[in-house]
Amino acid sequence: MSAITIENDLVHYEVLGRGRPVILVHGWLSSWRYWITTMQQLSMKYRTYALDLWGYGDSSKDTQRLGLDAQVKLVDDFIEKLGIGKKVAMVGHALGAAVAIRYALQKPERVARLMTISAPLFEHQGGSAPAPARPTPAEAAAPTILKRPEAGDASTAPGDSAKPAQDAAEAPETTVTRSLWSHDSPTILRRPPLDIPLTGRPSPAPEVRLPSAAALPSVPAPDARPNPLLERLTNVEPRQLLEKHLPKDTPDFDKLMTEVSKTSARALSVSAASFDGVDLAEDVRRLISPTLLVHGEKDAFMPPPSENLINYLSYGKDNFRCVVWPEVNHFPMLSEPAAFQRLVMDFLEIADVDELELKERWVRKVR
Amino acid sequence: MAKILIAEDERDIRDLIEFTLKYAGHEVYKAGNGAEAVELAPGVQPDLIMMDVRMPKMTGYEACRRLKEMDETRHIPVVFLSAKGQDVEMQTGMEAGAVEYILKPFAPDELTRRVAEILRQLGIG
Repeated sequence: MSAITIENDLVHYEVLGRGRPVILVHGWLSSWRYWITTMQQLSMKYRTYALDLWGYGDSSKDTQRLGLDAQVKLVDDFIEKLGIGKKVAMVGHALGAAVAIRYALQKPERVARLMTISAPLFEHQGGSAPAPARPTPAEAAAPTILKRPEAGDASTAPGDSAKPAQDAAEAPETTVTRSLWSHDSPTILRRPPLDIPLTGRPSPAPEVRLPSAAALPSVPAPDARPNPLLERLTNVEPRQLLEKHLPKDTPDFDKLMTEVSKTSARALSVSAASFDGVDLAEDVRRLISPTLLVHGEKDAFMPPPSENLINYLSYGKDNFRCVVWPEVNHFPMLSEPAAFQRLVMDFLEIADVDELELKERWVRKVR
Repeated sequence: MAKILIAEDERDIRDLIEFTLKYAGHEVYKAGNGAEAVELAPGVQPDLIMMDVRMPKMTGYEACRRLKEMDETRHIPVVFLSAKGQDVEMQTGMEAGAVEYILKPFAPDELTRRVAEILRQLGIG
């Protein structure tokens, strides 16, 4: 066990391997422990660090530092204090995903790339259109024609009809992409390409610009938005939550239950409340680090973002991918460890996240 | 859970073995070569020693022989870690007093499983 003191309190972490640094940040329902197999796999090429956030695992349980901002500061202090001088790759899960996104926004110069798993990304309530109806398997097999967001288009930009039509005209009218929901293989969700055929990339690549405000779904003021985390995390025992979302046949189930018992219900409540006014989706939009979002299709704790929101997040962004992984729950690193580790490795090694493709060996494993 | 002494000169592999066994619940001690292992073992009194074959200063074989010569360590089972295809080494190792061989490279979960099996067979843990 390794530990350092930050702000006069103990922070537990583990480190393994040599090479470029990778920081692993856990979520609400455990501690650093569920990164063990990922660390083992990455350790021959990377120096992996996994820390316990404030209030979790064996780090201090100081109730003054359980909010999102304090956790982001912890990660920042941790990186500085350990003298991790190079750019780091961040891999964050659930709460850790939010922390990693916020850190990457604050310190873009320090983040070489960012991978999030089960990030708490929610559609803006009351301000944007409902997600398109999910297709049936038969529909999913066919390519989906998606409309590029347009001003006044109820499917993508409600409430923006008063915005100048000129801005909306800058966006092409329609695009074609692969089916967004595949029922038999993991799906990499691309940003809607500009007149790109079903396969391959255009050559030469068209200039991609961020859509104007009028072309994107409208965003209510932060204070007006409900906080979907409150209902999930307030007044609930972490142990009960983990029991509900982690299958009992998961390796080291008992050890993970022991770890989650170190976290208090209050820690989750305070953490959830700290997301009031936080719009993580907007934060993702503003990221400049290469980013991969991974969501389990069967994640009942942090369900994957809607198709509408994914389009919003990915629109016009380069070096960005979103994977919705069929049949996978909240913990792909535990339920599909080999495939998850390969995905992390591929993500860390590929030059451009845009080029990340599902390798056949990976697809076979996750089917 | 058992007290295990690892003797391995390659730091990355030593660290990975330590990490893997530690989080499988074992108490782990480390040596960078055979001579260090011989020096540490009497004091630590591990339940099991896992040793690489080819190490500087003192090979795994030589270390194993010395451990088997000392009253305070001769009862400690030794498992060798060796690269695939070195059958002669395996034979030499068994003659030196080892109870088992684990071939490298190994996946961490495989190592955990093999160690659990060996400990069970030895009635340890």
